[in-house]
Amino acid sequence: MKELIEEIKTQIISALNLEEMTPADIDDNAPLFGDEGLGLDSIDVLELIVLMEKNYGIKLSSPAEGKAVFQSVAVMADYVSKNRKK
Amino acid sequence: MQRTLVKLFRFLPLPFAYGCMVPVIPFYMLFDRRGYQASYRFFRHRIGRGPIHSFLSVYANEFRMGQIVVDRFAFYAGRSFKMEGNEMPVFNRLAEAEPGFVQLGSHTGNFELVGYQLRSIKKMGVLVFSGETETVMQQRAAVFSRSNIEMVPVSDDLSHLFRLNEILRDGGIVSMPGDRLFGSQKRFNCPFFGDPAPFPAGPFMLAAQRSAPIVAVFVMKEGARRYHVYVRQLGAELDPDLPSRKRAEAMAQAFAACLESVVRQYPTQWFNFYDFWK
Repeated sequence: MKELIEEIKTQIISALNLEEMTPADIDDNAPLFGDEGLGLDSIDVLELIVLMEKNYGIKLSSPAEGKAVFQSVAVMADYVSKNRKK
Repeated sequence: MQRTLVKLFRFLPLPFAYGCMVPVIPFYMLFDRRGYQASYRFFRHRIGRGPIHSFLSVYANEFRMGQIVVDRFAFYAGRSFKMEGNEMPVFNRLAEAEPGFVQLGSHTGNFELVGYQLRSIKKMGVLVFSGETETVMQQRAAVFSRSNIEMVPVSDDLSHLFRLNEILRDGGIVSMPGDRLFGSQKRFNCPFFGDPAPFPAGPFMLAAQRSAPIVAVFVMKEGARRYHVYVRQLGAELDPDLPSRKRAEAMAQAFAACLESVVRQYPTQWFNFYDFWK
């Protein structure tokens, strides 16, 4: 799981162009959206939807699903490990 | 009121409706100061016209806007308009190919008419703002139900992003404005009439992430019942190995350049009545 968390962090940094950050700067349990944590917004949601689909074959189709999955990197990793298709 | 207008336009000659606007426009110019000033500055400083010419251009600009609204209701009432232009093959080529693509509109000319005119077997998701009146939404829904078009309203829970992504992934067309920030404030500042202006990152990011083609469509009024359709593919020459952000930014710049060239050709059909560069 630790490896998957690191992998997802690296992918987020690359997809969202967070050049000034390293995986160590992202707290596993910090919220991805809102003022705390990474402070991502709606365009970033789009990036994460595509990231999940391209890298893990997971197709998210509803905001409720997205909200549940994109809570934090740890939650994302847990979801990926249970639902990945590639 | 709007429902009555739709009924009225089944019979009312368009030149008569246009004529009714002639005495009304000065009131708009007088009372909508913000809109007037934005329009005046546009003609004075961006197009480079003299003070009197700019003042008259604001009148022409407001009049054109009125015509566009009238035409929209006339269309809802079942009236047809002649569409000209030789760039339709660009759209048809993409519509016949398997992958989906993004179609960008803008607040210039009468983009809304194009969704009904560019026929395709592909599903089309049209991003609409929930601020529209109920009558406009109902009329749109009625027109859309006759074709393969789905309205996707902008929503606080971001469900529109999921739906648009899904339509594009399944090989459909996603249609949205390329000149207005909505939802996310992420933007690309692109050269536009001599200064950087903010363009929304969303539409370009969506296309770049899915490696989908992107086209800009402009529907410009040229006569009482005649429009000219321009279809331009953006960023087809870009290296597909570029990072998606870079590709998105290059496409946004290509869109801004395209929009500027069309607006220079039809300056009175520029309908962003606010300081676009802020």
